[in-house]
Amino acid sequence: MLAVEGLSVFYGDLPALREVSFEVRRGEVVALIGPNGAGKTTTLKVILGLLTPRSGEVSFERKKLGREPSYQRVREGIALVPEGRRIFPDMTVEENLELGAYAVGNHREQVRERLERVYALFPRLYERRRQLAGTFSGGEQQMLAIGRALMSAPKLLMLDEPSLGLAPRVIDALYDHLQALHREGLTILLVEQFVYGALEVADRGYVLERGTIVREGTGSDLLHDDYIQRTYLAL
Amino acid sequence: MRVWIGWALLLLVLVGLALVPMVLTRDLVTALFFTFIFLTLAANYDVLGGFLRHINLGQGAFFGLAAYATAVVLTRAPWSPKLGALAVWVAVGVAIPLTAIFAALVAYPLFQVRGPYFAVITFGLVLILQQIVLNTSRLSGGSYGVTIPARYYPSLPTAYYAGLALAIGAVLINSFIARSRLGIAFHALRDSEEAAAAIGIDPFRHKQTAMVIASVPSAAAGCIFALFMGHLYMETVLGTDVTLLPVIIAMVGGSGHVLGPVLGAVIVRGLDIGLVYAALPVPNLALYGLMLVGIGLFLPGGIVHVLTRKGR
Amino acid sequence: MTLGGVYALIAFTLSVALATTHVLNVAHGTLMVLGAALATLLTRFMGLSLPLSVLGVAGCFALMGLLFDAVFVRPILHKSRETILITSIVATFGLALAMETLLGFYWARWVDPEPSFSLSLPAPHIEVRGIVLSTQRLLIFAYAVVAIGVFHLVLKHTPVGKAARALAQDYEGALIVGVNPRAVSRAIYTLGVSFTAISGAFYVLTVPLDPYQGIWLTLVALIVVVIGGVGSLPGALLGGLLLGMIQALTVFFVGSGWSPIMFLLVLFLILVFRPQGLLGGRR
Repeated sequence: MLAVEGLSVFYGDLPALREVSFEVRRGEVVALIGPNGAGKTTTLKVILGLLTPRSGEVSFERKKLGREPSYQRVREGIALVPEGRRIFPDMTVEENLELGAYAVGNHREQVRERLERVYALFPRLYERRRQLAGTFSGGEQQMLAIGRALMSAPKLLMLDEPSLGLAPRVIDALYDHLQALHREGLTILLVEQFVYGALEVADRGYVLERGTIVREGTGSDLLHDDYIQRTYLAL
Repeated sequence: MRVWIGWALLLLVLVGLALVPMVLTRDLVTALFFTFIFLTLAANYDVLGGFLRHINLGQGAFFGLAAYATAVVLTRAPWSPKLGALAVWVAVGVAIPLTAIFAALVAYPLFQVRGPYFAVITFGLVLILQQIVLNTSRLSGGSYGVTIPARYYPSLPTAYYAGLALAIGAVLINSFIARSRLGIAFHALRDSEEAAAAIGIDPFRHKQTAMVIASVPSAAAGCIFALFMGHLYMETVLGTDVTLLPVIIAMVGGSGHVLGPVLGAVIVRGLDIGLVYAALPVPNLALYGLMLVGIGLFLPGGIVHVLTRKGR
Repeated sequence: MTLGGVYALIAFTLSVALATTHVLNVAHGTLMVLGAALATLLTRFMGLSLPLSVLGVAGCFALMGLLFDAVFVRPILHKSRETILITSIVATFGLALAMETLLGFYWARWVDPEPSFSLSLPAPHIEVRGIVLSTQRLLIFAYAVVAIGVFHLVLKHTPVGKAARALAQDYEGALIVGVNPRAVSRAIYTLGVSFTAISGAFYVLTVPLDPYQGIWLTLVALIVVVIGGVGSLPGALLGGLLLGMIQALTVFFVGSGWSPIMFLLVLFLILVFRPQGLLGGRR
């Protein structure tokens, strides 16, 4: 579904990604793990067209995306839940969600329908739909950010460090939600520093270090890999 | 080897500039004098604009204030006529410190804001001075202007050399800042005020220092300009072009680079002088404006960045 | 006092454009002067009625807004905030300079040797139960209220307005959601420039303008923005009315020449004592 080939990105003269290649197949959950500054967020930004790579190619559903702008990519079915949620603090919950559907057209009926689906998934959002999003707790903001991404009815959902700053109990709930979405057939690309949780739900995973992919395999293989256990799980 | 050629070239240019008053026509020498004045202002602008990335549209305020202070001391102070030629030095001795103190004081409200707001309210500073000049006609002559007695006027070569010295001084100040501890502090502040403050660099004190440093050569330029022109109008010493031209020069040449203002002065003033001689049927200012549009849109990093291939 | 509404409006259009695109349009006030000039030309020299010429101004400047967006905003929109700011200051200052010079020059040559733009109403005063009211002021005030209302509704309830607010609150966040910044900027500038030009036409119902007052008007708008906070409608209203009031008071007590000084003094005082603006929280 998504294929990344030979991606290199530079910030000025500093390489952020070097020849990164990986793929995400339809219906999979793929985890991209690695330490801070490894280039995980950069990878997601390139996939959504927020950054232009120096070389390499991103294809979505067999089509090369080239220099297509972000809004076009959202329209084609890629959605990102960014690091730090990036919700719009001075807008209500419902306005935030409506904006999620902005790129894919604004047929009232369709937007209503999707709103209802998101509210069914996160009843908490329905209760507080008229409140300003800035007043939310971290966990609620994360739900809102996911709900907002779902409003564009994506084929591929990318999440950047969704567990960051959340209490363990909230993280469990979040991962339950992700698994539910996966069972409904959504393809997910998950970037995490919370390695254990991510690899547990992932079908496959890649390990990114200093801009290159150093390990790849199925979720359970990686979970039992010596190197990963030593470096990331501190076992 | 290449450094050696660079120095030789610089020496050649300086010798050439020193010989100018003996070779060129009066008009061209005057035009070069104005170029030095604007180069001084542009280099001063770049202390804040280049090193600290605070776009200061009020550099002309320091220039205009010093020019008016010089004129007011020479025409209104009762003791001036008794001092003879010394009065000029007294006037300059009043005008420059006064401007430096003014710079230190206005730093308090101005540095409350950053980004576009800073640019705008520094421009407001010039407009305040304009209005004060227009509304205090007994002191400043208001819209009729003020005339300095002819006995104080410097000769054209004197003004020319003073302007040249000032321009060189202003550029040297920038190159000194770029290499000094102060320059490093400025760089840190430019990248992140929060981070700089965390390692003990006081953002306000440093910005205030930058403003005062940048005000002194501009003030001196104002003094020479006032003495040379003799008659001061609000439009010529505090007008919109006086305060915006330095910014344009720095940006055209390349803001944040020691040589940026120099290149900018050569290009912008060259175009300006060229336009005057071309005598086109359309007003020059309009063409000038259109050139700025082109420069702004196509050369946002300035000429220096094209030459050093470090475009943003 | 009535001018406060117009100040609020031009400040609001400027700050919405600044917040969504990071372009600081120095030519904002000059576009307002151009609007006043076109309205004067249409009514005084071509004999059109006031409502018709306002319509003409609206149409012409909506096109002008499209053009402005295409030339001055779109090519730099993908750059960093700082570059956009610097680039736009240089380029729009050049534009302001070119427009005001050409306007002054050709107006003096072709229309009137002493350029001054003003409009008048057939009935400058109306009497309601013995109280004389100035029709001009009522009209200006009504215009400001309606225009601000329209702009506000567009921002609050249309998709493009919501996208604009999203860009202003979190630019990258909005891109992630799939907002197309080019479409938003096109809409903002078409609407904003058109309103700005009409504001010029209404402004000269009471106070005439000359070709060279544009940059000063930009500054007034920016003072209002700094006082009230960027992109904030209540802030713009408060700032605009405050300046309108200061202007009325200084004209009455000291003389009209002093009102710019008072504007800037008030601004400096506010900056020293409330740097975040009167209503602003974040900056």
